[in-house]
Amino acid sequence: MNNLPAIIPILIVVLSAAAAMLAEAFRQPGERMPIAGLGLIGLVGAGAASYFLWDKDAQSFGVVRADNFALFINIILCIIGVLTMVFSNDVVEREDIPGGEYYALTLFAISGMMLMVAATDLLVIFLALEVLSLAVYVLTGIRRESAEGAEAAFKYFLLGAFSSAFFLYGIAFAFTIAGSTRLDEVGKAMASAPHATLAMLAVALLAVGFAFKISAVPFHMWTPDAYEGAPTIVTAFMSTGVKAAAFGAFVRVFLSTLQPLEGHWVPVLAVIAGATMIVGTVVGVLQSNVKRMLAYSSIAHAGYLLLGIVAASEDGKAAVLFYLLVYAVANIGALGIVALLGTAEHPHDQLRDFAGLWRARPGLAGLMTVFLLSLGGFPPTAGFIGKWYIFAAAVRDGYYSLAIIGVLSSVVSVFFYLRIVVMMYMTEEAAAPARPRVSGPAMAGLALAMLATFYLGVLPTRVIEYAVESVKAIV
Amino acid sequence: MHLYPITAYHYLVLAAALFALGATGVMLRRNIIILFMSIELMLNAVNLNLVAFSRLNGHVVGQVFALFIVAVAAAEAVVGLGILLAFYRNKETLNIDEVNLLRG
Amino acid sequence: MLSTIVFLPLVGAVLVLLLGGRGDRAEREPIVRYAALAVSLVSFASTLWLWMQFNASTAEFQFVEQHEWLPQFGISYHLGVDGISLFLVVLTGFLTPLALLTSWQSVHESVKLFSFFMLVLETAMLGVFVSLDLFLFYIFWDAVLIPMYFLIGIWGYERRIYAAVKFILYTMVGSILMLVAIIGLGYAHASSTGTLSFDLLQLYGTALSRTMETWFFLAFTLAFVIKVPLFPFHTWLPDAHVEAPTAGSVILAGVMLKMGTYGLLRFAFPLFPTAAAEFAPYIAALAVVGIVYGALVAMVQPDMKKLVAYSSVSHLGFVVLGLCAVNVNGVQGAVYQMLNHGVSTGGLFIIVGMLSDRRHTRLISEYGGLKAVMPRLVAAFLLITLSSIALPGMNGFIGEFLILLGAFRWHPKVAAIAATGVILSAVYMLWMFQRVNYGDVTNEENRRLPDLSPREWAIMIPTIATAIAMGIFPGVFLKPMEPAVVRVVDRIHGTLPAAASTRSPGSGLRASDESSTLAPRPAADSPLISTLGSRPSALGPRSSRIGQR
Repeated sequence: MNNLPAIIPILIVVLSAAAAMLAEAFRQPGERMPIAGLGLIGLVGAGAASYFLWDKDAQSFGVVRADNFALFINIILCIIGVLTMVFSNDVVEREDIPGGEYYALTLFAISGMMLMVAATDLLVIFLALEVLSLAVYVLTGIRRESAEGAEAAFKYFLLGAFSSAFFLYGIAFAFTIAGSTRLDEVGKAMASAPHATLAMLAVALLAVGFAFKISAVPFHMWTPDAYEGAPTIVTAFMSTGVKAAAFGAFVRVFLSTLQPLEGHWVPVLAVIAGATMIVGTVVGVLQSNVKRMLAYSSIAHAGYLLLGIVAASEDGKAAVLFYLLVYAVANIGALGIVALLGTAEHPHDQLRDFAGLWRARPGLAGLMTVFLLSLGGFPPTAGFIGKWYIFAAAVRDGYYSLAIIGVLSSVVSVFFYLRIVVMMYMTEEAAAPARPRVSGPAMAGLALAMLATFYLGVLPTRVIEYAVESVKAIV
Repeated sequence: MHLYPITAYHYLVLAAALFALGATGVMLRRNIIILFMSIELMLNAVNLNLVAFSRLNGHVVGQVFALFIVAVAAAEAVVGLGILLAFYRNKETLNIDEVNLLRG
Repeated sequence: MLSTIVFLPLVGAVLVLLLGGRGDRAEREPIVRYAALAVSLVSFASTLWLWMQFNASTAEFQFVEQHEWLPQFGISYHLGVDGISLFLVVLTGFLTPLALLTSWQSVHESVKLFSFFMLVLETAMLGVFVSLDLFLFYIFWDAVLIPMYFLIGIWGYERRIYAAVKFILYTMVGSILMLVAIIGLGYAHASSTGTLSFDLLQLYGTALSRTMETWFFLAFTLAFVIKVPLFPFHTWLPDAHVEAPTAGSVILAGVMLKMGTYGLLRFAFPLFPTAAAEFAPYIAALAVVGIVYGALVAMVQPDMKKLVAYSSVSHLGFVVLGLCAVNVNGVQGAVYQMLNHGVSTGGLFIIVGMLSDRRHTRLISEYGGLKAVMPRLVAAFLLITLSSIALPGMNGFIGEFLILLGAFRWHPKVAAIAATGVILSAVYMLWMFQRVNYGDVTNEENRRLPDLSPREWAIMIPTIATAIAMGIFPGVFLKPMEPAVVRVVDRIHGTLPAAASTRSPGSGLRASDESSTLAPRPAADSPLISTLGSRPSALGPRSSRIGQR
């Protein structure tokens, strides 16, 4: 029984996923069931469990370790999950998404994400990666009659499976060197690597695998397509959740296990980080579809996050954690609003759909503005503190040029976030698209996200302390 | 004819060759089914690596891993084919060049 | 206390939002307007109170508030005012109610949101002037952009969106590089002293390598000169001014441009004195080019608002020139000129706004002969124009005179070229005044224009009164700012006495040894003479580092 504590949060989420599946099985045709509620219970439970496990450093089966680092990301994932559930309750029926499957898959994906950041064995990381990826592939194409959805899912699946193969091959090389896939053993073997070439190969292949998942340039091709074709609510979920989990594992593997080889991979990642920031923002400027635009923005944000990894310091790691939280709250808020305004016939994802939103829905326009300002890094929102933290970590390690690329690209990104703002406030509504009503719980979720955005922007000290404490778990 | 003993090196090279073949296939072939097969080839190249090194190191861990990966690959294939089916229903084609609804 | 002053408008902004109710309700408009005005008046009163309480005899920061904020980064919530920032705070408090009043006629769309952004803007601007922590300063500095962006973009004229986006991107490019420099400076300080800090008073005198100092200085200066705007970084200004609603123009010209010059004086020059000494001549050269260029371009503008906008480029050139001279006269004149420009250019924009409210055009050629139609408005127009062209007895004269004096002591030739700007400004302003107001009424539409309404009287009287008062009693303003100016000049020259340069946080009202650096001043009746005569030590620019060039 001693093995259980570390996986309790994951188990709770899995149970709620199973409950969601069962509920769907017992549902009469045409009956409405509050399946989102089951998910909410599970996620709140998992969040509470994570809270109680804080500082306990529980370990399970030698391959799962609920250290503070994993728990911090668990909490981020729970926040993402809770907001997704709240928004989904509005959206799912309207968009003709099969409810039971949708909720179950989302929850399974979250459990995979939690496992991924808590795993201390490369093979378990791979397993978790597959659990979350398979669920997300299906979620992308969950609207069966949608050609775009199917195409997006197909592309996502193909490139995802392709990258998984690279990741796995990297694991095989690590295994070749260390005779084990446990992170600590691999780390030891790498530190005294007799086979330098093999070690390099392992690092390179693992990096490619992660780069696909976090959509870093040049492995970002799938991102805009998958984000555009998926139902908006799924885009909101995967753009934040998958990123949080992949970055969590990335940090754990590269900044602890592979830290001895820092000299080899840091320069490469530095170049990738710079390219990712530039491509994400520059191409983002050209988009007229809001989901696609936010997809490129998420690529750019991956670049900022990579900067934290490149800094390869305690500060850098903590900055990545903090930024993940900031980004998750703002991005799920922004995409959540897009999702809440869309219907199956009219997805409300073109720039011009936002024309005159301020007149029609002042509250939503105000919330959207806050989220976009946070993504753009304006004070006093969370985005500013997040960027400050990341850039401070980079500057401290002497990466002035990357920091400058970062800040300049964030100016460019402001340009495209402002395009949405211009539409909402400064453009007259052309033909009124029927925008659906937004329910109370969804509004409450958005309001909470906004409060979090301001809280993290004005009084981030507590949360930063937690982040700093979390990264002490991985040395 | 003189036979050289088969060493770890040979397995590595064979696996690398298979992996490279698979990767090339994914990038160059146009038929979606062939793309799937290429990805499977890549995964099996990894399996070969694991099994060979497990044998050379004298423990079974790697072979267990290989079984593990086979299972995961099966799951992946199921989901992949499901998605492919949905895609085929909408597009009625298996040519990758006609995957063109989304672009920017 | 300072916190209350800074955040009072923000609280008022939220209040206004709540009073406005859901959506846009026409019947709530008056309540919203009066509430916003009341908040801004209370906040003006509080800034005046600050001035009353201000101890004019010390260069130390007063009303200091310091709290730990983000200890991980060595960032504190540190506010304080000295003689330089005090008046900018008062100016902000003064102009916001006027700007709100000007909008009563012209803004009818989403008044609630308009008032909200105006008050948020006031908080952000006040914050810029009182922050003594670089991080906090940067937050306010960036926060200013958002409400201004909305003000231009929603309530502006035809090309408002273009102007708003240009405004925000232009200013951001500069300021975001400053962000990198701020971080770099903090860590450089940490590596030389062991403690990470972004406190301005701690960072003064941080040991930096030559390259670092140069780059940091350039990054800071770029941010500030874009804001000023210094030629050739001024291209956003005419667009922003022309497209902004009157209230926006008043605030933009009156306060926001001063954020740039204030930044140079408070941050860029004293933080990096060596680089400042090296680059000051170049910046001064650009300033002089700007003075002449702005004046020449202003002369040919057919649009009154654009003319005033370019005159700002010219006037702000004077301010930057005064700063670059780095002697007490120059800097004091520069600070004084910041205030003058706020009042007189703010006033000009208000007048242009009144005209365009009546006629819905800003083209000079559409007017003519207004003197016969609206004698009172034209009288106000005349007084403000005279104040803007620095007629002796008006406020502009004192500032420009001091600046030219300071510049002359530094480089006579530079001063000579800059002086032509004074003449040119008389030319373009008076020419515009003549074309608009004298002659026959050529346009029939101008015949029935109403003269000043009571509301407009309420705007014009304080503006003109301030302009005249600042011209007649400059000592009231110059005296409290002098210790702070001397301190800044000494700091840039690196001649700050050791006692004053040992900096401890929260050293605000500590009695300092500053009195030793202050030359005894004779109790002269004319403060101007006393200012000019009593400071031989600080007036020796040739012995300074900057003068050595």
